[in-house]
Amino acid sequence: MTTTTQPWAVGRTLVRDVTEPLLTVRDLEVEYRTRRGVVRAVDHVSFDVYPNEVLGLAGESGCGKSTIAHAVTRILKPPAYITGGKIMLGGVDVLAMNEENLRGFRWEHLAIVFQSAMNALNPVITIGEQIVDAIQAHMNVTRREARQRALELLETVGIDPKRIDSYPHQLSGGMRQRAVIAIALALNPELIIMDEPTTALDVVVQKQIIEEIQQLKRQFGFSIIFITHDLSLLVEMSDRIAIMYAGEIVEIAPSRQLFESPQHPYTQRLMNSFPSISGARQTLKGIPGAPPDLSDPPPGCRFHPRCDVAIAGRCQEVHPALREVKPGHWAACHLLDQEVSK
Amino acid sequence: MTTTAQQPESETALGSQQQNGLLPVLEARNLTKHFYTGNALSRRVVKAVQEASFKLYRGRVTALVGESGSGKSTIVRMLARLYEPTSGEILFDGKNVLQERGRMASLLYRSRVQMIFQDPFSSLNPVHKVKYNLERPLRLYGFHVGVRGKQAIQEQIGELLRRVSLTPVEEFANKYPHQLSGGQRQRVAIARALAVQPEVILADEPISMLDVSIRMGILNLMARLRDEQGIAFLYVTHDIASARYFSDEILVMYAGHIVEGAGSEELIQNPKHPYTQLLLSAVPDPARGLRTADVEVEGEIPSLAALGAGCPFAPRCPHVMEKCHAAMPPITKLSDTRWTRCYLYENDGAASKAAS
Repeated sequence: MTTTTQPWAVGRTLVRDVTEPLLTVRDLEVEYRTRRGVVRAVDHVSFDVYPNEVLGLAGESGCGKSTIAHAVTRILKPPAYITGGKIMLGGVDVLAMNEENLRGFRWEHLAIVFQSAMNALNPVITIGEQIVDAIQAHMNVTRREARQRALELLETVGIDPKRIDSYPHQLSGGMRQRAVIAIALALNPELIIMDEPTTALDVVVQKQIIEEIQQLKRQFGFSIIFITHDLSLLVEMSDRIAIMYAGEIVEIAPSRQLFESPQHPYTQRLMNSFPSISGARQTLKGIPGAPPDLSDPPPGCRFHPRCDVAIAGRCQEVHPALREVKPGHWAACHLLDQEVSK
Repeated sequence: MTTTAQQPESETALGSQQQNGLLPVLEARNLTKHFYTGNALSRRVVKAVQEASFKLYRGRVTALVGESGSGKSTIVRMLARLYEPTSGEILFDGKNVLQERGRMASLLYRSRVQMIFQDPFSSLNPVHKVKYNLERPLRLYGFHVGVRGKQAIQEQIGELLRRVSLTPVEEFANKYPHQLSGGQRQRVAIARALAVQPEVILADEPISMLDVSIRMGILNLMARLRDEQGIAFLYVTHDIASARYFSDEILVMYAGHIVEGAGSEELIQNPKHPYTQLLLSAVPDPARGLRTADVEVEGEIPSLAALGAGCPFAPRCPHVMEKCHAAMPPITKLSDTRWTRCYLYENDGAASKAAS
């Protein structure tokens, strides 16, 4: 495997000077071992995240995007198991770490923000206490110093510091999500994984939170893996986007390029599934059928049963690999070969 | 239902209710719902919906758009007769249904006004096959729609499944809900609503729990039912882009009030109420390109238990005036097809009144 021909090795180098990836994921495999059989939720997924970059991870429910988030943070619980691959964060082998190392590693280098802030926060402890606890668990500081830091953090994420002694239920949904982001920022991690952080929020609040996140990113320089099914939101806020389908990355490209010239039929049809508030009102078809059952994925290209441009005799049989269509733009589709050979 | 032919085909002719000369099938007049919470010592009133008035027409989709907690689901539940309104009227074909008493009147209303829920899994009975889920309404309401007898019911089940594109019919009829995908389950829920040949379907966030790639299929199916069978839809959603796609008219709700109503395109292209402007500016839309005119607004939707007398949007409104805090602005009719409740347009209303 030569690094120069891999999708994750290109892209950012063209845009930025920072050439060393912060996070490297290679051939990651995650399986759910259920009574009904083995479900490979993530299948040979590889990608890089560069310093100060927002990588968007998009796909429908069950495509494996959240499983990746849990694998990278090592919070997968049985029946889910990482069965192969490599995850390196800042040169450290994440999969080789034991529980004790992991405790320090999470929050200090890597934090995760979930969709439901209500579940992420302890309902009977004030938000201030929760931030203080997170800081004290990792740093040798006094309670007073930790509280001072908590006040700063609340201010940073746009919560009135006077609310430090509020309980989660006393805050609105948007404020709770801000509090969770404050905890994630507490130890200044290099990478924050955000798993549908705004899905439960209304669009106006979503926009406020997204703007806050972008502001914080500029200020602190962390990288983000932003997971959502909302492609429109991703195009607006990420540098690069990876599209997942049935446990695999089928396309990865700089956001604008992906939006303007998607290459994979799945990406194209997914783009054609979002009504827009601008431009002419046009008929949107969506995609016929439903995503496959991963305990028995279709042979060949996993999208072929729903694909209206599948090549007979090829897409059903041969699994397409990611290939570079333009610099930094990779897609896994046999049709792209044909165009090249033409 | 033969009204389809009278419906305007083009999107430009969507708006005017006067032009097509039809009577509304369902009308809400000053619908208000207050919930009382707390105990005897500290009684609190949650003003979930205040003075909501609108009309639904055969063969048209009216969207009700708002944030969570804005009261849109409460309106649906009042129209479905699940909640008793605190005040106001519901008129079906011009008759006030709130005054009708008796089981037959209630059954009849419920067969004419059907609901589709957000979660198609919990709205179908999981221990029964699809065909049973469709058979029940036919048995209960068969008298009303002229489907009587075992064989007629079986044939009708097949017809319903065909209408929602669940073919081969025999295969889907014998499946259990858990064997279906989310989109297929929602199609069964739609088929069940169609079983009683309703004139109005109240669809409460029917696509928001579905995968992105199958949402359009459901909206397209409902659009077909509107066009082919002349069903009136109330489409409740938080997603204004899908409202633009599917509906002929959009009503925007904020904190219990409907603040603006207009034909879908004119509302999207030229929003009048400051809240509608805020909502549209917040929708992620990469096709719009670089955003220039962002509306800067702080804060969040107010608590419905602590609403003052004035406009609920006043505390966040960039154009707020003194009188906004004093009283809720009256409805200003801006044209035949649009109106808003905002003092900014108070004087615009007079001109259009004279014109119309």
